[in-house]
Amino acid sequence: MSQHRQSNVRTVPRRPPAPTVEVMRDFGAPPPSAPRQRPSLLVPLAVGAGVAVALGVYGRTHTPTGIAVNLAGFSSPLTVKVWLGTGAAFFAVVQLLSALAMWGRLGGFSPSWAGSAHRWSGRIAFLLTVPVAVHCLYALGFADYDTRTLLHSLLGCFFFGAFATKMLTLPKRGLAGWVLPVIGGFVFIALIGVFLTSSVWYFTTFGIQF
Amino acid sequence: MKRLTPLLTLLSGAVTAAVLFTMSAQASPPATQPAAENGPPAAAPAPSADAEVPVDEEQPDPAATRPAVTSPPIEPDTPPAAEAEVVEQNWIGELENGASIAITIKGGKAEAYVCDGRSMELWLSGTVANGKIELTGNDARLSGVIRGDSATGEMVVGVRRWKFTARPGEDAAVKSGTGTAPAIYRATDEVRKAGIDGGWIMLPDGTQIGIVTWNGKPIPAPPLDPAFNSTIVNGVTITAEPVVPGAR
Repeated sequence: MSQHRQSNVRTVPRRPPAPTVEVMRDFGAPPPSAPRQRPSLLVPLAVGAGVAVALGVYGRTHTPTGIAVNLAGFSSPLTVKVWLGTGAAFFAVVQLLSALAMWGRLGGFSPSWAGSAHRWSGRIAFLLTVPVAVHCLYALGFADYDTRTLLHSLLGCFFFGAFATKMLTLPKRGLAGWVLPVIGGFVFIALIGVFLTSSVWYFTTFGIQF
Repeated sequence: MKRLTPLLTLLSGAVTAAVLFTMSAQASPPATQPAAENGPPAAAPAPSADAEVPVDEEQPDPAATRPAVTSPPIEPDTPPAAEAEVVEQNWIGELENGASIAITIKGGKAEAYVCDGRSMELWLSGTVANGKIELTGNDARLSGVIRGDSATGEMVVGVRRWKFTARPGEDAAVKSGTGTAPAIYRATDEVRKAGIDGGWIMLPDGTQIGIVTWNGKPIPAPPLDPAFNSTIVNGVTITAEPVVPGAR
């Protein structure tokens, strides 16, 4: 029983109209036409690396202006970012949970809407991070004053690279089962790291402010 | 179609970023004034409590630094609270050694800030009467005369002296019935209590020059965000207030 469940669970997220190719992999064995070519991850990885490096180089070489557009209703540009980042981190947690549900890792809880929840929480989280990143890059730049800022800068660049990789990998069919969870895991870890080194640091240093 | 949605997500993120970058580029003034060249910087005396730091919350944006904003200059019906935030006149110019100087005048009182945007800064305060400027600061004196639309004179710090010339700093767009927008900003009392100081001059061309004293060391100041009068140094937000003579 548990064995069956394992193999059933691990390889395929619950996607409503599961393509036939993936159903075949359900049985755990390699597809009959033995060395079927796995789709190449070269392009997504290269693009992701390019994005990360480009952001870092831009942030480093561009003279920080200290200024960028801001949102009304907050007391300073930093609090705007802190809260947008907190929102993104919240949706990142939704991401993690919905992904676990999709892959059947939340016990029996694997609702059919887990996939949509995953996609939409991801879109929202990503869009929330964009203004923050623009402010960081435009107004502050890649910084290495201390471990926190260095870590934050590195993880921030890495996050967008990893996210681009994830998005470019998603449309590929016939990937090994571990690929998407691993890339998604990197995206999640990067975002949470960015969150810890910015918003959480801000809240613990300055208190909760709006 | 399904395969396209991740790409659409990426694309919408990129478009959002592009829009925000464009808006940011418009919201911020041109790059800060490059630090002044050679010329031995004077010592950077510890900031004395000379400068005025008004405590009013409401203040008109220094419109000169916001080229993107299309709103008309401060209207005459600006609430009276804002009146404390304007000055009669600013004189902005340079010292012989390339440092910038701004003198702001209101009701016969004057405050001045001299800085090279790199390592030297000086706060002075005093009076202006009958076209004569007399200011003192920490181990420093500045005296000058106003003739027509130029102010000239010299500043003595310790045993060194520099000549300066300055011109009226107001921008026609900022001029209103009550005065002109302040040209000098200084870190708020609250920030200074925390051991960080900062001074900025709003130059007539819309750029800023300033110095932040961080851990007792002067460093070039990033420009103030005109919307919040704040900037971020080493991850810490520094809020500044306009310096208005006599507001103490």
